[in-house]
Amino acid sequence: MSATAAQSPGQTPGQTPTAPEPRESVRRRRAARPRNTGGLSSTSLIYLVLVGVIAASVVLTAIEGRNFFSQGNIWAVLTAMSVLGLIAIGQTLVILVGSLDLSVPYVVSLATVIAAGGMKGLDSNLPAAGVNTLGLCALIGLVMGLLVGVLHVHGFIASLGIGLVVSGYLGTNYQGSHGDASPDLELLGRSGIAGIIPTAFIILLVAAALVTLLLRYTRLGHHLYAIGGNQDVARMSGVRTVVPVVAAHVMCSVLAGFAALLLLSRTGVGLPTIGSQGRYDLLSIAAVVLGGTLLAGGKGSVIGTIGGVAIFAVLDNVMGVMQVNPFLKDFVRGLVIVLAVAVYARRSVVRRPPRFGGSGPLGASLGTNQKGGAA
Amino acid sequence: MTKSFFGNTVLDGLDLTLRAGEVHGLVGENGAGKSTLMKMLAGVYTPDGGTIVVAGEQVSFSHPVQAQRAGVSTVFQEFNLLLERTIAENIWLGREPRRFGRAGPVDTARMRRDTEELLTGLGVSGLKASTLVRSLSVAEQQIVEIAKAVSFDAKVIQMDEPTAALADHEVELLYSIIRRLTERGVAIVYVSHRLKEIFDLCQTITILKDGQHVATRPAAELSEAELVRLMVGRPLTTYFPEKPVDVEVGEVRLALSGVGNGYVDDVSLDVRAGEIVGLAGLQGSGRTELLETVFGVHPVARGSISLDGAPLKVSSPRQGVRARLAFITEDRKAKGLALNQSILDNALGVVRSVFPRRTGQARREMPEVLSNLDVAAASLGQEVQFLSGGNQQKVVLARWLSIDPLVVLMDEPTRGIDVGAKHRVYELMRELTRQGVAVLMVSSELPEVIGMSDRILVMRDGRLAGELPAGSTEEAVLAMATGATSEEDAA
Repeated sequence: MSATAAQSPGQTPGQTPTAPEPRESVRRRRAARPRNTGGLSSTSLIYLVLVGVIAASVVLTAIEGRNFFSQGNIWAVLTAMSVLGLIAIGQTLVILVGSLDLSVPYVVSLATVIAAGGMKGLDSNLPAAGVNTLGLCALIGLVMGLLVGVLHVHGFIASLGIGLVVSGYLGTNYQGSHGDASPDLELLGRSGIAGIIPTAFIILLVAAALVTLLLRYTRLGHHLYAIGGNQDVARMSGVRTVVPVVAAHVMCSVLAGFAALLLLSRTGVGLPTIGSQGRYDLLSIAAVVLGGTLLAGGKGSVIGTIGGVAIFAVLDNVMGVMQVNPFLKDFVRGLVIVLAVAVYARRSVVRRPPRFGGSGPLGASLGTNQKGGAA
Repeated sequence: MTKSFFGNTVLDGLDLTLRAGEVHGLVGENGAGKSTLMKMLAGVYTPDGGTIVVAGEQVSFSHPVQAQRAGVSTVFQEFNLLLERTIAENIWLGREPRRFGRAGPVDTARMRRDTEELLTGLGVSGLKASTLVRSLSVAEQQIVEIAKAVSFDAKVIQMDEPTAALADHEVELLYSIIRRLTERGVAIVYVSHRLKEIFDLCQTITILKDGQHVATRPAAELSEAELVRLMVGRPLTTYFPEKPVDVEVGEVRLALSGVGNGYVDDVSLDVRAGEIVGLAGLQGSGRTELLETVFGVHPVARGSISLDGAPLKVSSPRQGVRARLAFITEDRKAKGLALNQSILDNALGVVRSVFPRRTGQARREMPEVLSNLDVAAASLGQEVQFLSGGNQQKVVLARWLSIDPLVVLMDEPTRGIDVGAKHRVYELMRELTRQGVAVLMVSSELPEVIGMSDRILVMRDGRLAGELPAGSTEEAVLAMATGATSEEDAA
């Protein structure tokens, strides 16, 4: 570290520094070190990618003789975002705290049949059925949270087990569609602003905003990050580690329940396999990771996750317009996920910038100011 | 105060009195009970007997936060920081200030203000409360830890090996922070293996050995030799083993000619068989990177390396090992050992993966190699994470001895290990030279570089700044490492 190396003789050997000197040394060292080795933050990166994906989609849609920005198409993209988006917000919370939820597709399926079964096509049943459904989801989340937080079962296993239990219950008790959504709920599924922005998408934005506030401005939010970052550090700092873990799982399952109600508003009937058909487990995890949240927890944001969900929705939309076969669809999705994570991994590896230009990717452009390189 | 684990008494009947504004040194070999004592005062362990009195009030802790609230804060060697969170979020973790009473939102503005006040109070400016801890240097992270300790209105701050990862000029900064704290009447418990620091800083020194209290004396009444004698219970006449007379420095083993890449530039040096060459320099001067380049971690972009006269081309650590280079890394927990695997598996790790046919033989020889190194462990099946730092380092050494290395690259070989283990490492280095091995050693401890090296090379800013003969003074090495005359233009 040249800057510090060169100024330290002022303090050595044996000379006692007076108070201002350490001040000086810290300040110069800060100035010498590059602030951000990756350049962009993950969130700006993901939205940059989103803009690129949209641009490509506009062109590809135009080639098919269609308009990407048509009223109907935007409505379709935003509708597609809302269900996966709500689930992915919940998944973000669970991943941030260092856990994982593989049970979301089964919780979604269960919630649609329970809600539709409770409504029986009558508006008068809507409040009770809604509350029952979300309450049941909260209960499932509570069980998972306690398994993870108290019994220290890894979230992967806890949610896999609970998911199987729910899936088994659905398989034995429900064949085919079940129940009937209330007309009001179905109306909500069709309603929106100016025929462009569906109400479902507004619900997604409200949820995203609320969860963002929760993460930034509540102790619970801060402690979610702390536990996911390093559980020992959190415990040593007096953080109660059980409550945030349980809360994250409860919120995740409840958000999956809301997503199920949105699905029900479009399907009109409860479907015991709708969740697994949507592959919400893996897609939500992929959207969270694509949005820059560390799979190990402790770092990430809901805003990034929404960006990840948007990328998937736009990709799906354009591939639908182009009538791409389903295999190729999965191929593209898979490629996007792997590439994104490879980029993040690379960004987090470059910690020690090269001192002399040439060998590293950053060498040429940063060669001179890198001289202060991190100690 | 007494503490026992599983029936083994680790600490027995110890008394310790700390006065306000005093720096109290706590020394002893690893396993002497220093960590246990610190952890009891920190609330990590609960004492089995005895009492703790803070400012006239008897207290008992069952959790670190209770200790901190009572005024006893601890800066552990391994920092308790969240790398992906900001300085402010780290300091106030678990007690974030809230607006409008208990149910209100977290007051981020106040967190930031209070953090900056704390840092200014320590004489540190230029660290922003909103900076991510990941982007801080080790020294800066330590400042954050100290600020966190102070934020509890600490009356006592314990520091465990605070300089273990600091460069010399950063140590000066730490000293000045400690002085500021003592001026405010804070008592400091200072644990270090570096005796020079103990004498620099401490007014009183307590010596522990095998869980027993050996002595508490004013620093002024102790000499370094006397202190070492009390710690190990036997006089160490020479701290560094004498250079054996029967070792002759042979032909050039390892030679670098104009080696350069992204981290180092134009490095030419040679190490002869049976020679120990010390590599000094400030932290970040490219010493570690130079060793890594020789070992094949970083590609060589310019210049060439030769081994025993033949060109050496390594582009991966695996090829480095195949050429029989050994590399003892500075961070043994992250890069040297698989902590949750057994001693035997760790010791055989290299031979197994690179010279699989020799595994059987190495396995048969390993118990003897380990006992020669005085590894203290219940069995070879014990997981290395439960060993002391010194014993862990010996396991690292054993794994490299198993390939019969031609060249041993050592990066901070005695960091964080006790005096006895240090001595054993030094002896081993001498034994290696007797077998004609070339040793290239990076160390931030100047006495070690000076005491062990046949020649001293000094690095600065990724280049070799010069060479000094054995027995040079610390001042000479430091002057060369810092480029004492060119202060202005480099800054």
